Amino acid sequence: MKISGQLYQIIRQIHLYSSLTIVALLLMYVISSYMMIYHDWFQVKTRNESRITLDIRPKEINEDNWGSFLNKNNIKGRLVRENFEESGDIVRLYESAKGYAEITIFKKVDQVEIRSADLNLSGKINEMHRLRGFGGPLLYNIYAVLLDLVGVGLILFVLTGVILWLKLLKHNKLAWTILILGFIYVSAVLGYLIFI
Amino acid sequence: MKTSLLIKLHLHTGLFIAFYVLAFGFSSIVMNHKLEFDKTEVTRIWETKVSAEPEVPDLELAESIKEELDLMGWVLPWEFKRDSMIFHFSVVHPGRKYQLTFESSNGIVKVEEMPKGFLAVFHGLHFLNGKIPNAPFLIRSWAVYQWLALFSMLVSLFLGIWLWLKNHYKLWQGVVFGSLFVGTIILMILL
Repeated sequence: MKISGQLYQIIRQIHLYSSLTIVALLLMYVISSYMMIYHDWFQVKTRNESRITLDIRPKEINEDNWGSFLNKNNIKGRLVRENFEESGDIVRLYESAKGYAEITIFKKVDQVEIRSADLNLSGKINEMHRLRGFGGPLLYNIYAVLLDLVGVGLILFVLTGVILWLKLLKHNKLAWTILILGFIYVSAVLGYLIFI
Repeated sequence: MKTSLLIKLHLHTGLFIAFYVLAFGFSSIVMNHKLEFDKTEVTRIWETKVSAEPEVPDLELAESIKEELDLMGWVLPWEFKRDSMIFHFSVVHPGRKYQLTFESSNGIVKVEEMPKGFLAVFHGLHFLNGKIPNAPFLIRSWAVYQWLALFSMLVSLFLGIWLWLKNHYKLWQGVVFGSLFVGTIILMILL
């Protein structure tokens, strides 16, 4: 494969910068993946579980002051689920990597119940691994942008890596063997799952 | 250790995980944007007779039919539906969903197959840990490949950083990417 010196430098820089950009997240993903594999050793547990009931009229917590209600009651995270029960109660679940809070706004009584819990360290790392998507507070959206960078970075990382390898070690039989075996194995697994 | 040897090791570990990393890059984008690729068309319908006992509880019945048919996948208890003579349930794995209808009067099971398609399976590799019930050796060996791929990723990453620090480090790169590293860690702590 013939690549000019300038193009080689550009590809090398893309390879380097795409990996350096995402190195913190990549480390977290690798560590948390191992923790998931050995989930018996790193069990997810909740702690500081609490259930409080506030005497509030549902009218007092409308959409306009919902944010201040969350702040006042120290509810972190973002809304991940909202259920409208047959009884007329509204249940909202807020989740962060640190824990969760489930808020039930009762229709028949002037009360709101907040059930919350924190996660242990394994749970926090586990949740960090699962955290994804845009929406919610600003920090979550910044994180979602970083996750997109991880996706693009990983793809660029591989494509540029293969080009660099072709430049450096294209006659290396071991390298070809590793690449081809990897391709055959992943293709076989994909093929089995798709066709059989 | 010689730099050339480290470069070779970095390249070899990188090549080993190339397709795994590609799948994960794709999957990260898919999940971040909540994209759905699962196809739901039934492509094959077949029937067979089984010797399952219809009187047993739903989960037991579903599992016994799945075992008898040697289907790979998990039964989905939330999709059980039973009326007097008919029992509906599903079996699913990352590449396919089976919808089964069991008639207890004659022991006939009708199986509808819904392959999810290439993109869904490619994305599904993210969740694959090799522990699918009734999976063959090829699929179960994914657990070993996954472990090795993660380890290779770690090795490749550290070697890459080492080679950069040793041979190509520039101050501005250290400041920019060091800040990004610390910033990302702080962001993760805040979330």
